[in-house]
Amino acid sequence: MIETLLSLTINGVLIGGLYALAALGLTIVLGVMRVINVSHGAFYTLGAYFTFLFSIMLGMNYITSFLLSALIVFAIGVVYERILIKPIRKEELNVLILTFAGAFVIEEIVKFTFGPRYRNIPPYLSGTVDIPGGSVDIQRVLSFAIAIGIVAMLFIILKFTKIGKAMRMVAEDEEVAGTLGINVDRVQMFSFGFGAMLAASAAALLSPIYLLYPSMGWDPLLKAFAIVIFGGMGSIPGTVFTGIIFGVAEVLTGYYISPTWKTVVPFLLLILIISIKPTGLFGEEE
Amino acid sequence: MRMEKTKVSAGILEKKYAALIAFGIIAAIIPLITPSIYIIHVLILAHIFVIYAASWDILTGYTGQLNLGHAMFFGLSAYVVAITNTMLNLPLLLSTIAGVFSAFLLSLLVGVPCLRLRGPYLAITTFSFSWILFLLASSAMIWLSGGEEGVRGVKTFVVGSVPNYYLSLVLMILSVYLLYRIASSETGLILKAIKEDEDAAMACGIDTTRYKLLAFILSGIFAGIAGAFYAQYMRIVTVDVVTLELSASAITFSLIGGIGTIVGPAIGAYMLTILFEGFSWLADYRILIYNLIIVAFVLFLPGGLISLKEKVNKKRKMVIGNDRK
Repeated sequence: MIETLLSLTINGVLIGGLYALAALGLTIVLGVMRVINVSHGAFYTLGAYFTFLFSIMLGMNYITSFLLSALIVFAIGVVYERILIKPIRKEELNVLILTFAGAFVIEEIVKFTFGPRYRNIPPYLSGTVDIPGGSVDIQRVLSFAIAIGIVAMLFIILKFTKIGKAMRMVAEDEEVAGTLGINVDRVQMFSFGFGAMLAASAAALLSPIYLLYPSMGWDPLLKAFAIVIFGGMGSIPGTVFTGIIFGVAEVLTGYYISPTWKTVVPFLLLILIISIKPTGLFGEEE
Repeated sequence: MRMEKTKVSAGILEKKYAALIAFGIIAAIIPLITPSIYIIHVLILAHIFVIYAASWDILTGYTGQLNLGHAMFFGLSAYVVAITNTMLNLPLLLSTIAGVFSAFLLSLLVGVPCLRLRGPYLAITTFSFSWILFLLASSAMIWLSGGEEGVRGVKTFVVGSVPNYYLSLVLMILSVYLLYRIASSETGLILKAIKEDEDAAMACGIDTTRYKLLAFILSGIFAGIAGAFYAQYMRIVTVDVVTLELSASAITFSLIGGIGTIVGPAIGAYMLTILFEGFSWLADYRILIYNLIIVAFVLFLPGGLISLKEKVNKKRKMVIGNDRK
């Protein structure tokens, strides 16, 4: 009984780490640019399909495919921001509508390029690890470790590098950052590309676990939304912590209540927390 | 020359009513001239979506409360009408009242926690409510909603396309008129003030909480009316009524027409519903082209179609001004 619970929790944590990674990109874009990027899920889809393109269709190894797809989606994100977002960034609602329509455009392009049918990427690593109450795939453990590695790297970039400091400054106060000589436009462009890249890396890590299809990006997008708001906007520890909580909650609900309820629970939790503390679990009071 | 142009300028106000009356007459005789039930059907849907888009506009366009999940009001009302009518065998009138009432209750349930939220928090919370409803209808509570199969066999007020056409036309004109009157009244002005600067409105002694909640309720009720009509007209309610796409279409209708004008979203909904059906010859490319048009509008005409008129008027004034010199 306890062992089952432990095993389920471990599985939840492993999945939750990847959710957190997908949500982090959204957090950064929200924090630095103050826009809701509904195309975030579409970048996730692109990340998965580029991984598929390189690893299955072109036969490259998994790590190369992963890195290439992350880089390409970064570039797409940068161009997307420059051409579409920058001219209208001050208009919250317009950005929202544009990125929503943009997500469908990307989805349709993926559908025409790769076809509407389900695709799958075989596990890049086989074998299992024994844990109390069962076992988990080595692949999941490694993917989790990579995700945590990326989060740690992100933390270091934000804390110590020049671009990271500039990003934090812009997030704090755009106008002051501008007067201090920070190129706000460039920082925001970079942040947007970076957010897209994080979505793509989460997708590359999750794609050997889930199936690929053109509209696959909506589910992680919605989860990322919930995670970002639940954890408190712009808070990286909050996002990671919430991602893991959501992963665990999902697995436990799926096992103890019913698989159909597991997708509902994160959103119920979100509404509960937001009714109690409007700025989220880790968000600062205004 | 000069006389003619001055005349045009004076006639703008009358033109507005002339356009409305012309629309009314054309709309009234359409069923008499077209034999196609399909065209009538598309127009009925257009009427329903006009109410739906205008009801979104009063909350988001006027009051600035970003609602990403508007389909929840429409969908809940439609489901309540269908379920109470078919499973509980309530008379249709009672079911309709129950449906609209449920949308009202939902607007309170969503509105109250949302009063303290702003910007992205509000957007994502409204969205979460509608997403929960979608998940319940599509999987978790499929025993009640019927999932893709839906709830079938809802009764109708009037039988046939043409009577439904006129009923929906009257309902649409009434709803848009009411919403427009509210939006043009002092209340509408206060709602606009909240949108422009909530803190400033509060500083002027306006009870912003009360007005925001009022906007939520109005928005919920009118969307509920649209949903209830939809349920009795279609006679079947499936998950389509609570989808992400339906929530998004409230926004796109309004954007293309002109957000924050009530009339704009109404025009947008009417045109886009017809256009989207008219696009069916594009087959697979329909969604792509539809969304590319939206992207183009956001970038090049964010004020929507209604802003075109203002631009033309401005130009006219300039021409007249130059003439006087």
